[in-house]
Amino acid sequence: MTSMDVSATSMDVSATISVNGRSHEIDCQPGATLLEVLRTSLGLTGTKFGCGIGYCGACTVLVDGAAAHSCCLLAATMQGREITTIEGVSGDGPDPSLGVISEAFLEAGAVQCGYCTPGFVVAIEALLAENPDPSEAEVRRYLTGNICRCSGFAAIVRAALRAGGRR
Amino acid sequence: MSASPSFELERPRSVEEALDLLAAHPDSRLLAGGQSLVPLMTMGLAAPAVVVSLDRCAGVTGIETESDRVTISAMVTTRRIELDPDIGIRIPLLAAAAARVGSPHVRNFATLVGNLCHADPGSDLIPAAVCLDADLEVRSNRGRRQMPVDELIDGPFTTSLRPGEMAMAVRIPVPDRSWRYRYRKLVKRAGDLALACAAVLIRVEDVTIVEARLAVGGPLRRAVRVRGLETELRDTPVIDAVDIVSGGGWIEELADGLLGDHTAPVDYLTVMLPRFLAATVHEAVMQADGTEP
Amino acid sequence: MTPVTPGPAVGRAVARVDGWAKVSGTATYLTDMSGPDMTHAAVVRSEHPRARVVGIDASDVQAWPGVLAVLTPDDGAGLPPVRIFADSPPIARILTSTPQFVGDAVAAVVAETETLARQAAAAVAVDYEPLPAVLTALQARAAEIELHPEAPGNRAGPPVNIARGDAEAALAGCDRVFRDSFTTQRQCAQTIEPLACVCHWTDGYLDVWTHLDSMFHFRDTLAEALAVDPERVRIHPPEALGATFGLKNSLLSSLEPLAALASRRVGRPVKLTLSPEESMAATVTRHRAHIDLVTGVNHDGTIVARTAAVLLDSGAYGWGYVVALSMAGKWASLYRTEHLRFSAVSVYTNHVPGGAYRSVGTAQIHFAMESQLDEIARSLGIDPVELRRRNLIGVGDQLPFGTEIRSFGALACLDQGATAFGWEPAADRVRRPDRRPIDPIGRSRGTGMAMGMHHAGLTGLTPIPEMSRCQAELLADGTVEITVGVVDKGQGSLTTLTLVAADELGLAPDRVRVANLGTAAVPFDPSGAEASRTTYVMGRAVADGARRLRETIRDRFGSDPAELTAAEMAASGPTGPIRAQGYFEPTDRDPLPVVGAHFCEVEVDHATGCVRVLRYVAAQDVGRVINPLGCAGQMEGGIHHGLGYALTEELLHDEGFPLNPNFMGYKVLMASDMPAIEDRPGGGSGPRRGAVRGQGGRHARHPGHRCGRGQRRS
Repeated sequence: MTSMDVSATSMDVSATISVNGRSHEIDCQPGATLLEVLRTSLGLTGTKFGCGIGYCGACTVLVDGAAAHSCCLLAATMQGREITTIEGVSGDGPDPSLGVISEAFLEAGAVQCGYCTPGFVVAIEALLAENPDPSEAEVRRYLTGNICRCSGFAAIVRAALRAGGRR
Repeated sequence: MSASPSFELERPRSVEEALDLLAAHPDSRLLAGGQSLVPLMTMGLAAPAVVVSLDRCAGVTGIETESDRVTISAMVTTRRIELDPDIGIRIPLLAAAAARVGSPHVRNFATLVGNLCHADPGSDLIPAAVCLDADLEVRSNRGRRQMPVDELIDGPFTTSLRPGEMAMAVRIPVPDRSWRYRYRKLVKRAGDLALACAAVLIRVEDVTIVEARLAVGGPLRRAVRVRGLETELRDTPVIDAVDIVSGGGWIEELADGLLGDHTAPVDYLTVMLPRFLAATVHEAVMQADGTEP
Repeated sequence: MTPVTPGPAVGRAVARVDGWAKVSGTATYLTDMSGPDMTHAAVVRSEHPRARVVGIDASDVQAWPGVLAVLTPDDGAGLPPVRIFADSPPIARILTSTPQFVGDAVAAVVAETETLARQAAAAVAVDYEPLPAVLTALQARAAEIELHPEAPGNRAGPPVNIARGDAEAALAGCDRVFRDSFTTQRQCAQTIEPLACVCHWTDGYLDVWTHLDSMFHFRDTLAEALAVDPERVRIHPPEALGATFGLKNSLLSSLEPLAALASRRVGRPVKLTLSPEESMAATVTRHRAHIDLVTGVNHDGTIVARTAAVLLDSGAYGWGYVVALSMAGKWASLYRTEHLRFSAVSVYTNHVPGGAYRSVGTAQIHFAMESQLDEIARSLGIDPVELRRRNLIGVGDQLPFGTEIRSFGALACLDQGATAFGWEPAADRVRRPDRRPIDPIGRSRGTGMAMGMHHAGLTGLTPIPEMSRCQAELLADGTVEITVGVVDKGQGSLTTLTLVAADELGLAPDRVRVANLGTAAVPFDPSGAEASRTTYVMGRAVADGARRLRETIRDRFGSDPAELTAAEMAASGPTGPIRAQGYFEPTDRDPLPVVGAHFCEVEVDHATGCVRVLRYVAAQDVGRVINPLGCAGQMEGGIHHGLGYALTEELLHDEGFPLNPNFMGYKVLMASDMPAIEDRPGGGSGPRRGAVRGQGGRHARHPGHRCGRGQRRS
């Protein structure tokens, strides 16, 4: 079996990453994913761990405006990129500061257990930035990077279309 | 959350620096978009001692366009290829295959060169590159060479790249406008790796096929050109193509390479693949657009 | 019976009370819980389907800095077996030295970080002596190998036998007899949040935050497993739960009890987070089932006699007995039949345990029943809708334990669904679409339909009494707080209950707060959010409590809660708490029957065999809809699980080894795989008398099943 011992694990690396417009100096293991650093080092737990391998999309963030699975990116390689998390999309106060997409989610009943919700909101933010008024088929295709196990996606698609019409 | 993989991370600023690192560390892996390597390391299926990330390496992000070919560098993402207007017009087969890789989230980072070198049997881009007669530019700190993508893949997740070598770019000859194309992909659900895929280029004059290039991937040790069938199709009337391809005699050519599994056993594959390729050929002939329902 | 007064809140589409916290990412899930003192556990799991642990060498690991403890089966040696249900044989241990499936827990490590705990768990050397494994239910039933001395014949609980009339004799007299066999696969809940729990054993009390459907059942079984007083165990619902779909209907022997032992050992809180792979392959799945159906009919399609023989694979520690009971209820009820015989046996094998998961038993038995009915319809030349119409039970018929049906929307669902779908009655509705030039190999389109019945409430299905209580209290600011013991795991029950209470109190919903504050602070509820019971049973209890509180307030202040001002309350001086208790216990002998009819159109690609669902209509008798948004979400989500079960979802094993326990290999359908869904909630016979339901659609079964690869007819 493995004879790994703790002293053999890699040395930390340092990096500067920019999250929601603020710059952070981080020290992390070279193998630390962006997701781990967001959640553990920066305390931004709105970005969720689901599958760890780039399928479920609970960890979706924006990297320079593009949707990304933060579980599949090494944090140390994110230097010079602008990261946006759900905290940067939804704001951090009650209703008044909620974004258009978050509001549409509440109105359409697109939130159930809610664990996948931040990832979907962020992914739809990226979708609407490049395609402000998408068709239902375009929404469904774009959301191939996110899985919801509660809703059958129906209300989420309705929410995305509703938000799209408003931008 | 899973245990972090353990390795040393290098982030060279130049290709030369990257090549020196690869030469110095035999147990190293190059990291481009990371969409395959990072999850593999997370799952413990890859455990390199050193990871050489190209995220800040100069000179690896370009798309170079010439009259008869397009050269795509190591860090060019599949999303960029999918959306590049010039590639969409001149090499639409590549754009169509790129658009089928994973999800938008994955395509924003996954690179063409990385996808080829990862050598996943379910790759969309290997059959497309093989069909397009693409070449790979390879460098090490001892020199350069060029090889057809068709010779890159040895088997699942293994390539003929030698220690210390780095795939710099893919050079794709631009097919002239007389070629019709089709990329078709079979998945059990959206966003998956290909259970089967086919890339087809075909030239038709009047009602006769004058040339065909057929590449099949998915349940195979390596994506392949079906050369015997390409020869058989030459100079046949278009109307006979579907029967010839779906007849399936050509499947013998690939029999050794078929990878069946629990959900797609070999006896299913031998029935399905000829029909699947026949439908792809037909759609290419009919000049169907690249979208699928 | 507590009538539910329709008011301004019930029936309106309302955003969920916990919506903002979830959509903004601020809600704290179990996986988000942290603390300066938190430690982390990871489990060492069996690499063999069946083995004996000969030795565990953790000496190396124990020396690692940051590793706090290594637990082995010896740590639980003095404790009783973990008994999930009263009827289960006592076989499950917190950590086992005789692992029964690949993934069974044999040891655990506690460390300062999760990463370190996992690395250490991977480095614990376990020496196994592999034993011959029992990998199929048939092999288990033959009992050449007996897995547990406590379970003779590998029987996982008692058999279930139900009979009415003389089925064998009646079959002999039928015009036609149909015999078919069906096998269903293991399906995973695949919650997006991995399962996790936090246990903190301190000052003689054990505090537990965990994935759960039911608090008090958890408290009592956990206390029994740890041999402590239940009052010393406090179960807390996490602020938000990444769903369970019934998966956490009960304890997992190596989750909560293990984290509790670990916390006692290290004297600090212990968080145990399963990996996605563990969550899928080492918890529970839907029971695999073999179902043999014999159905005798007359030429006009009248069903005369039916028999069903069911063999359930309960895996290592499952409880097929309850699943079989659940199956029997629907099988015996939905279609009126004079002569019936149902027999089910469940057996232990060396696989991941079977467990609760979205409509236990219902999914398996309806797949078989509805598939066979289609064969009968085809064979007799009767339209499938018409065949069902001729045999459906209705108001006045009796349920298996003798309850007379008061309301049942089966016919209305059938009719409304067929109309909405545009069902064309024809002997053979499979047609080729216009042969498109694009498609030389061809695709066919077909339509299909199926019905499904499920139960609300647990009456008669378990020894646990079916009842709920709540407490309603007027707070100083004029708002009302209602405390309940049921868990909102995403289905929206706190919102549903808020609307019910608001109307009973005559208050706006924002002046009512329904809360679950944990076992130490809410009235006892023997069950939880399971068996579609929350809205039905707790909904009535909340209505009762709210109504009583309104009366109390009127008596005390002479005005209605809505008119009550803070000044009036202050003027009345100190009064002590103004409270009322709510209670509901169904008086029926059967759970409440619910029913639906679903229709869909599919396209089959002749080149590949792939099936695409084009259109889906779900007509579901849900009683009165409390919150249309929540109701639609439950129906559409149920259809997603149902389509996956029909088409793509299966946890695969090879010689007991799971092949696809991750989000890549286990194929849950994506947004672009799903059809547009047309919901017809409340499509039944109008509001059921007094019935309160905010959800439904749990039991979609996909009529395109014959094209699926997951389930097989043999």
